[in-house]
Amino acid sequence: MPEETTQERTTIGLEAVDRIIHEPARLAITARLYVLEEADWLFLHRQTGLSFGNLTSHLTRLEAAGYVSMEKTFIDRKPHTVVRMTDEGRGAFERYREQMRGWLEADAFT
Amino acid sequence: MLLYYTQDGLWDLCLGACVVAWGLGIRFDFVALHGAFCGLAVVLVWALKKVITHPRAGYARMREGGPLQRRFTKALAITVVLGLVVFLLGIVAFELVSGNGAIVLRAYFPVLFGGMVAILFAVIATWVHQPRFYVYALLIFLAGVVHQWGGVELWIAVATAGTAIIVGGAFVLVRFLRNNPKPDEGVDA
Repeated sequence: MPEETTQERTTIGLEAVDRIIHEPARLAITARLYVLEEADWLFLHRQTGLSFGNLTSHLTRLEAAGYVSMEKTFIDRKPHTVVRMTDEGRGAFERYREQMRGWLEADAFT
Repeated sequence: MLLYYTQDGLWDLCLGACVVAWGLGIRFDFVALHGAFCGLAVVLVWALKKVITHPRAGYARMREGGPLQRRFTKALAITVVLGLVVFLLGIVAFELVSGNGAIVLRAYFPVLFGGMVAILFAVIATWVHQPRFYVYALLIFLAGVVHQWGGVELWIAVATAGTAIIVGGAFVLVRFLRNNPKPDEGVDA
């Protein structure tokens, strides 16, 4: 029971946080894409340290949410995926950032 | 993120080559050599980025007007302005100023000029978050010092500092190539 109370307390004010972005791996991806016009799949793999499967899975989730768009082409007969953050994704990331900033700077911990 | 632009050591090699060209320019009294070589080195770095860096570290483009580009542009502007100040002060000290002040400037010109170039390198170190560029700054400054008080010819001191920077860049490049092999065939690249 005390554990439940602690859990409730730590999540107060975080209900509205976008869970799609909040997940650490997706946060790592979106934080990088936010400052970029576009990046390819290999860049995101190197920067985030996510495995091939994990990265694909998280990018698919972000694409389904409309936060990123992916363009698949071939260069020298090798697949080449370029990822861009959509306007919707940028808006969602900015909202997430403000929410987290507000939550961390609030008196929740005092 | 800025590490992406400096992790391959290509800019180190470019800066080192420019410093060596600067030394050779002094030796052969041919300043145009320095300018032409620096321009060529920058073009070469962009070309090598496509061949060496992109297939290993991936490709990314900064967002127009985004926070990263604003910071990059600001830092680049400061560096260019500082570079121009260094260049103009050099010309002023050597060619235009007269009187006792100029004599002192002329007497300590290598150290002063080396110091100014070192400040330029330190600015680059600060905005790319790469401590090794502070070492390069120190090497440039030391080149002026060993010429001023060590009796070493200026062009040798400068070219040696440039060579040391090239060695540093080569080390970084080798480490980058070792840590970032090209992805296997069939993998998205």
